[in-house]
Amino acid sequence: MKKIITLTLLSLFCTSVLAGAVVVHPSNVATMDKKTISKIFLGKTKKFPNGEEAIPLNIDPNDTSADFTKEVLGKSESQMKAYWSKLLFTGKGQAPKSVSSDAEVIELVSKNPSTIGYVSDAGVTDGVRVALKF
Amino acid sequence: MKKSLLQTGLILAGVCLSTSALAEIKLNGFASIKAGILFDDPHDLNGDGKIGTFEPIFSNLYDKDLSFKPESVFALQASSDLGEGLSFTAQLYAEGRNDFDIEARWAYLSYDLSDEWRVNVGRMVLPMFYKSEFEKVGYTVNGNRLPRSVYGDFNFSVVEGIRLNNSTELGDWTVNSSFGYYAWNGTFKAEGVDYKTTFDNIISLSTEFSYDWLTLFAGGFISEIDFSEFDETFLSPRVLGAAQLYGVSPSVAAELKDAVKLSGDGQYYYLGFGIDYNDWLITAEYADYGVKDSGDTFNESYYVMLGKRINEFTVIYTYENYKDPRDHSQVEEFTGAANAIGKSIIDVLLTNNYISQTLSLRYDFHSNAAFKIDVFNSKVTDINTTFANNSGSQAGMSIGVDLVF
Repeated sequence: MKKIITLTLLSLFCTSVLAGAVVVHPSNVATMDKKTISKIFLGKTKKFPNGEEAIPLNIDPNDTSADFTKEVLGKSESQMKAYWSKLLFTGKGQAPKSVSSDAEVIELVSKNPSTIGYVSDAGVTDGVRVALKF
Repeated sequence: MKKSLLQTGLILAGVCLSTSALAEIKLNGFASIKAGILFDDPHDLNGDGKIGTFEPIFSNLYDKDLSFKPESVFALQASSDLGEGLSFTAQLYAEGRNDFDIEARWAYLSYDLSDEWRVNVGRMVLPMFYKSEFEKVGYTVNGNRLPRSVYGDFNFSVVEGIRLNNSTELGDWTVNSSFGYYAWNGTFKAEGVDYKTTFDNIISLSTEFSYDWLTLFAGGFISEIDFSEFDETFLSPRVLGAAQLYGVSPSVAAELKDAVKLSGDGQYYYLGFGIDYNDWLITAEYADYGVKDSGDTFNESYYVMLGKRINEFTVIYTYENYKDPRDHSQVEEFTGAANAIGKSIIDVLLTNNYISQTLSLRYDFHSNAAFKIDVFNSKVTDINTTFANNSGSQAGMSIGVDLVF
């Protein structure tokens, strides 16, 4: 009984702390930590650790994007906006493409080995591989 | 020619709709709506009953009447991705200070040479100091403005030329650099008259090293600055006239004229650091600039910004120090009357030293907008100029909203 209660409490705790997952194409088996993923999404590197092209994909502002930005990139949404504005309005780069739903992320990531995106926990499917949970 | 922003916006929209599907056009923009006011009238510092026009920081900005024009800006940027690393970007910009006249602040062709190198050719903003390129994008700045001790109004900020941008990783450090070659021509106003001026062979270099919470930056540019119209029509008659009056020989007078002219090699450089750690913010930047071997003395200025982010709020305190030291070394080879004339010419071109303090609050109330309010005080510390009367200190406040879209 105690074990069941502990496990239930643990799983509840895990669901409330970890809000989403960074997903890649199933063929992309590179191990990636937060720092590497952060560099890709901040445009500091355009390649995966294995040297292949990396195309990051954002989700339009929602709870998952807010959690991703805070947990993985270590910034608030307004800090990210300021970061990309500095690059966009000075000819140095632009923010990753943004789609409107988990489903769209899965659709694109499952078809293109170069893409990397993030979805809510509920949005993960068999068509993609989870690179990192956040 | 004045155009309304609406008219230009419609033209741009029309262009977008009629463009073929081959080129993908992206529209972005930014805007600042700001108002400011000074609390007191300028003080008569030397008690002669006159108030000078030579105000330290807030010249051409605010006075005792609330005004929305000085710092309000609107900009629309259209970027067309032509594929295979090539793109064209144009930014139409209008500011209240210029009656919202529209100018193309950026208009350039971009080509990605590789993942790390990009070349931009066309019209762009000179990276004069660390934040110069995005100075007008209010959302990217925490206060209502960048410290004016460094980021004053330079009329040669928009130049034409070619720039190489590099972004690379050195271990855990990210290094962003740019190398540029540009030119500028325009006018420089003295006593209400516009004098043709050119900046040729502008060679600029800037670099930024960042690691997690620490950023280090430095850069600068050199340029051949031609003020010959001003030198010949304004400065020369005054120097030669005074020389004749005080019995300076024509040959010495000619040498003196050459020593105090404004044209020469301009040198501008900056360096500093930034810390963003656990929502504590510190930024410091030092700038040093002038025209070598000329009547212009080198200005030195710096600011230090301390701030703290608390959820959607950011509180910032800024301390600024601006100096235009009275440096007569350019005329020390002259004696007697020639020396005195030379010194007075240098002095007339000086600006006053001042210290400024600002306390600002930023509130990110929306994902695309930030509200800001600040109070500031600036104080003249040394009156360098001999011909202008100056106010002792100015205090005021400003309020505004910065948007990006």
